[in-house]
Amino acid sequence: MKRLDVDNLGERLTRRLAGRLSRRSALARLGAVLVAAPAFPLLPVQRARAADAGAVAQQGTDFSRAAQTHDDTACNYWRYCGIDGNLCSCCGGSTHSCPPGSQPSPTSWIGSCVNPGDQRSYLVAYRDCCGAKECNKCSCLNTDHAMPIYRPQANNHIIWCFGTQSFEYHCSMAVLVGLAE
Amino acid sequence: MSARVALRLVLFGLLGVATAAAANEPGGHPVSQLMPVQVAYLTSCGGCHGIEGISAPRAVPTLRHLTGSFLCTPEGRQFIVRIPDVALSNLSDQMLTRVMNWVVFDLGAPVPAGNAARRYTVAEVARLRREPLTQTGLTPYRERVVARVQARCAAAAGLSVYGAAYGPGVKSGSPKS
Repeated sequence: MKRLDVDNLGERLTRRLAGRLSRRSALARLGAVLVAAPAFPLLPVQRARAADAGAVAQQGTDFSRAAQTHDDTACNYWRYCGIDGNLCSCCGGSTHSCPPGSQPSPTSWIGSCVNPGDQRSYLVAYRDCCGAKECNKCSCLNTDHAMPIYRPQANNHIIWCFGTQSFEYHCSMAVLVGLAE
Repeated sequence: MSARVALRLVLFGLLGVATAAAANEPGGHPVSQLMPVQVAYLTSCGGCHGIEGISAPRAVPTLRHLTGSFLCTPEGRQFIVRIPDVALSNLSDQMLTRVMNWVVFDLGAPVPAGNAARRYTVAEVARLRREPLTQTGLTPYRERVVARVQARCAAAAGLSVYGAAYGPGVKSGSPKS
């Protein structure tokens, strides 16, 4: 039985390579592989992880990573990243209109939320509807970009009914103001 | 079709889907692209003073077409930077200067001609905000500043709406009403 002659095989391979390739060419190829390798992570899982880490570093909060864009009666709807109170969308109004019988406050606080649909940041006015009994449906508390009460301009726990006829709180809207970036 | 062309088509397709998703937001009115100075104004001031500078004028001063009048006097020019919520805002000296110039010369225009009617510089705003009006009764101080501004410029008549007798619109049901 003929045994596998590793010595012979190695010699033939080396000689063939040496006959075809110059030393410089071999070194150049080896160098290129070494330099280029880190730019192409080899496993798809690794690539996906790297992409995720990049997105997190760029923008986003715990809220925005779990946010959705189709149901504005749920607390994780993207525009509600800083809302505190009852969603007007559950009370007969919408994200931008007060339920019948209540009035929009002329004052609000303005925060910003990332839309997961396009990963861009939008300014959102959290405007309360006032002058009717509290709606008490879909009560949410999210705090992105909200400040403590000693910075009341950006505090979401305040009843934002300044300037209306009544301070009775009904529900909160999340009115889109514009694209921030 | 080469691979590159195919890749471009796929990328444009994805872009189209993303744009459509934003435009189709339920209740979405046309979304405008905001300048950095507008973003700073809106997140620091616009909630109460109004997205377009139009507020509930007795509760919060209206800025639109009015703020420019404060530049009728050097005192008025200084006053609007030294208001505590302006001076102590979270904005940098550079951004606060941009916001002040935008609020005065764009939102609050016209600025009546006079020796105080020039744009703020960063150095000036940085100096003024280090002296916030925290040791003084702000309401009577504002009344005195406004009276002197109005004596100089007729366009400043509207500055008196804020600070006029508080109507039933503010905190009804509280001991103040």
